[in-house]
Amino acid sequence: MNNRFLNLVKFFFLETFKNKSEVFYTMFFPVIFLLLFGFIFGLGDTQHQEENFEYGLVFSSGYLSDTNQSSESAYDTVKAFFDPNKLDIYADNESLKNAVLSSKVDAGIIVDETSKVKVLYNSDPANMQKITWIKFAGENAIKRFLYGAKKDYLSLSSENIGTGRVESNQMDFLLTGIIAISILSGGMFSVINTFGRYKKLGVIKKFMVTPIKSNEFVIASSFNKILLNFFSIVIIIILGKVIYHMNYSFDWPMLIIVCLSSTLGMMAFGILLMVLFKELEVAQSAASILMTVMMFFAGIYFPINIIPGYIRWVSYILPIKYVADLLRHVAGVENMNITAFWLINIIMAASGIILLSLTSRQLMKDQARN
Amino acid sequence: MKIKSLLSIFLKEDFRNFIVIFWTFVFPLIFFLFFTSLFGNIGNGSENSSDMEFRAGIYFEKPPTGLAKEISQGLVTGLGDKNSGGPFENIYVSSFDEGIQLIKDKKLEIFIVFPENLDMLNLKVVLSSVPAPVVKSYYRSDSGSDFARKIFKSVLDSVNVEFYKRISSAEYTLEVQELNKKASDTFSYKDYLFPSVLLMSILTVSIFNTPLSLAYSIEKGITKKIFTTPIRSGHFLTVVILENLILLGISILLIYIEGKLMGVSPKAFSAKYIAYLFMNVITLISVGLLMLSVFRKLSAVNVAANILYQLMMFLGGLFFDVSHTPMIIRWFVYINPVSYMAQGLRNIINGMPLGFLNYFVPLLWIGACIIIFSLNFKKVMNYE
Amino acid sequence: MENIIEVSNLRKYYKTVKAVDDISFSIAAGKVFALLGPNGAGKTTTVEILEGLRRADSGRITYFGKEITKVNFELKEKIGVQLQNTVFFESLTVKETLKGFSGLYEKKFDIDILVKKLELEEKLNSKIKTLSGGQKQRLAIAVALVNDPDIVFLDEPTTGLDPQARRMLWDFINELKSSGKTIILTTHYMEEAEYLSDFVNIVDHGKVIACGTVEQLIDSIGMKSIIRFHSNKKFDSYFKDENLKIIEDTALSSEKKIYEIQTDNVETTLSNIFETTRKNSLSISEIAIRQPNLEDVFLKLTGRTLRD
Repeated sequence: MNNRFLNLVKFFFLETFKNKSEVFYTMFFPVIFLLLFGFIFGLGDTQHQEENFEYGLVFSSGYLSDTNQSSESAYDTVKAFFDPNKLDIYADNESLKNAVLSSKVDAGIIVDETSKVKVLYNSDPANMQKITWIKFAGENAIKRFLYGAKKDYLSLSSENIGTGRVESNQMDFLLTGIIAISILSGGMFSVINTFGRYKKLGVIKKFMVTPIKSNEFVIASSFNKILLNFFSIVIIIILGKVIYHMNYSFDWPMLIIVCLSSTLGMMAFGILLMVLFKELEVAQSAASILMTVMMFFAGIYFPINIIPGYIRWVSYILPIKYVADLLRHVAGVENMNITAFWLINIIMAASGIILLSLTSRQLMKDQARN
Repeated sequence: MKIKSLLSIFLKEDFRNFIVIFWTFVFPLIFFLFFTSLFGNIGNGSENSSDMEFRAGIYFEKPPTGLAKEISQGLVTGLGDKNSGGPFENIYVSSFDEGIQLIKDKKLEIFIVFPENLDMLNLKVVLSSVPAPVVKSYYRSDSGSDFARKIFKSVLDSVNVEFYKRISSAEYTLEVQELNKKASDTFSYKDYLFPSVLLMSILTVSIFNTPLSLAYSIEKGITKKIFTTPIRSGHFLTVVILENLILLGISILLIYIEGKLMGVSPKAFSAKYIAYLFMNVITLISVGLLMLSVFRKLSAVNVAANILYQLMMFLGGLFFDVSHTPMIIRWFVYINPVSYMAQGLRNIINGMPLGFLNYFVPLLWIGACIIIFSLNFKKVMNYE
Repeated sequence: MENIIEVSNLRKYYKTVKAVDDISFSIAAGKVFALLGPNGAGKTTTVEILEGLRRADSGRITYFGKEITKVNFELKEKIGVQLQNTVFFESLTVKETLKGFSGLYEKKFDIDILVKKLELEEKLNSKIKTLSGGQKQRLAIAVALVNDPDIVFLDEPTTGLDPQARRMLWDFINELKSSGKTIILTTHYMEEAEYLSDFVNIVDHGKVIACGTVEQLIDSIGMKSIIRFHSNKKFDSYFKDENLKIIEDTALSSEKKIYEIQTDNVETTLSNIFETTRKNSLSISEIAIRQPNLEDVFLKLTGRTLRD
């Protein structure tokens, strides 16, 4: 058996790594995603934890004469209240409105003579989440200026509680989340696409007439997908360090364990979809939907806490959350209870192995029959 | 008659293909419904986010008295008051260590510690030179905890302002004006997402379905058979475009019906919006044809379609703002026709005019794609 | 007889490969013209040039007496093509496929008749993906005939079919010929070319190495009757005996002791072989007598069999 199995592994190794499409989708496509989302969500900007905004301000002539100050001195005074946000002075309301509408500034403030302050926002919903912070920061700053609130009655000091081996920031969380998505999608799609391709080529039928057992076939072909997936992760980790100067520090033996168990778990999922849906295209669609849902419920791109309560529970039943937690633990970003760590790994690996064993025979039969 | 026959062959094949039906017609509808439900509350500008839930640990190093007590209790109560939109669930902890542990164990998103000298506040309201007590907030690096930290910071800021407001003789009223919205308009995430879903559907058909199915037909030899018949290349191209338009027409109609049922702004049903949408359809169909003429092999088209689709979608401002991304990717945002289309459609809903670039960039793409496709047309359409 | 197609000095090169290397032939109207040769000989490339799917690098093609530079749409109305690997849309039914393609032509043939003749009635409302290989092949031929063409190109129409299906298609092709259609057939099956064609061009490495009717081609190699047998011992040494009246002997397999011998006097040779076996205590079996065929022609001309 051993020789046969090893030969099979070698055979699939060649097939996998010579298949440009497969190599691209498993290894390089996640890298494209990393680069895309990394730059979109500001992975390259790790020093600036706080997002600073830009405001425009107009003092009406009435206000300036009421307060007996020049525009320049009023500006010098008010600027301090907006720090570290940027403040630009505008000559008139119209030019300020245009600046807001054209997104030159995030918000505009008009200090009127009749004790009225107008705060102008561009209601472009592209900024909808940012608008919350723009409003808070801007309104508080101008109120502080108007009421002369130079000092705080209650000061605030914030401290980041390190939960991992390394001093991490939100970007480390984001990248480990991206890696988790990559492992999961790599595991699930690799089996669906591979078996789909094998079925179309008639390869499965051919193997079924040899003395290869169903699970040997599935394991041998899957082994290379795990390997490919792992290489992809390594590339992402290296790029994260090189391009984004991430703080993480991976425990490589543990990373291998996590990659293995997670990939196994998701491969089993992929095979389950193929057994359930029979048709390759339907299984692919189901997998795509699952991945899309997982991406949004993972708590990676935005906190789970802001998902409405009636569907927030979905986050807790999807594997992505747990795989992301595992990865953060091995990256030193966020510690995890060691029991929980091993439990999740065992569950993923065990369910992967069990499902693979149970479904592989059925899958091979279905594929050969069709 | 020939065009009709060929078109009927192509359409029958499409409508019996699960993948086409699902991704063209069904997925956009699910997506729209799902994400409107998911994000609908966020866009309302935060304070009314009774669905948000952050657990705040509260600890007083020493029980406060007097005004300090009143203020701190008021602050904490306000944070945890769901009725007034407080996003926190307050959990009172008995010790500092307990709170820190809870934060580490992810049982809290934020741990707020009111200092021992909170009572200094009572003095500070009289003597401004008294140092301000320092409230400490402890948080983790994950997005949920960071979000909670930011909320708390903003709230505390407001509290500080409130102090000065109460002792100030001046009266200022703050009027918030959302430009490009009338007073009667309320922010609607549906209106924000509606053009995104429309454009996503158009992208799916134009960048994915059509080039892939054509490349598949060419590679498998289906088009080879068609070219032994007296069908002209121009007729064939006409059929491909008509096929696209019909699929998209149905998809867009379904999305509109859903939009109507969900109460999307009536401006999305205006002639201007639909006309601009039609221009977007032509633009993206052109891009799909361009892609096919450049990458003729099925495997290459597959890869190109995947990359282009993701880039156009995520760097088109369909789901989040990309106008402030680093230049290393922002150049794509500038050349991506989807960026201008999405902005244009939203502008129409917001009652704003379309800018020169909202027309120029898509038209430029149409022109460029037609030219390149024409140059490669024979190679694409000829068997050899 | 009028030539419906004339090809002169046709060439098509792909980098270093001469796919079609100076081919010339004429096709008479109402006849079956076969291009016979092994895989990769250039048959399909040649017909695809005639079908308008490829452009020749040089050469002259005439259709209906008129020289053409391109197979235009008027010409396409008059030809029907069954490609070597015809693939249709899997989700469409047989009827929809036939109707669909029929709609691409001005002239139409009754689909019901076609379906009946090609025994596709039972599968009329079945999807293409459910058809067997033979059924798909018959459908491909049916689609090639929807416009009742004057000229029909059939590229390896019976490849992969069982003998019964093959025979059925041969009969159908003969029927087509009887109805006055001109048929250009490419095949690597010698029997097919022998059974169907009026005129054969044998193609190898892009060149026509022989042409003529089947009888002309066979006569050209001067082969006589062939006796084939198995022997229990080596028979080679006995072939020198002039009494056996052997023209040529060939040990098809010395190891397995299978021999073929040519003779113009079967009776004499056979009885002398029996005499030789009796005298030398040999034993022979599986005796077969046949006439030379196109396979022998090809072997004589190239030193290889059609299947090599």
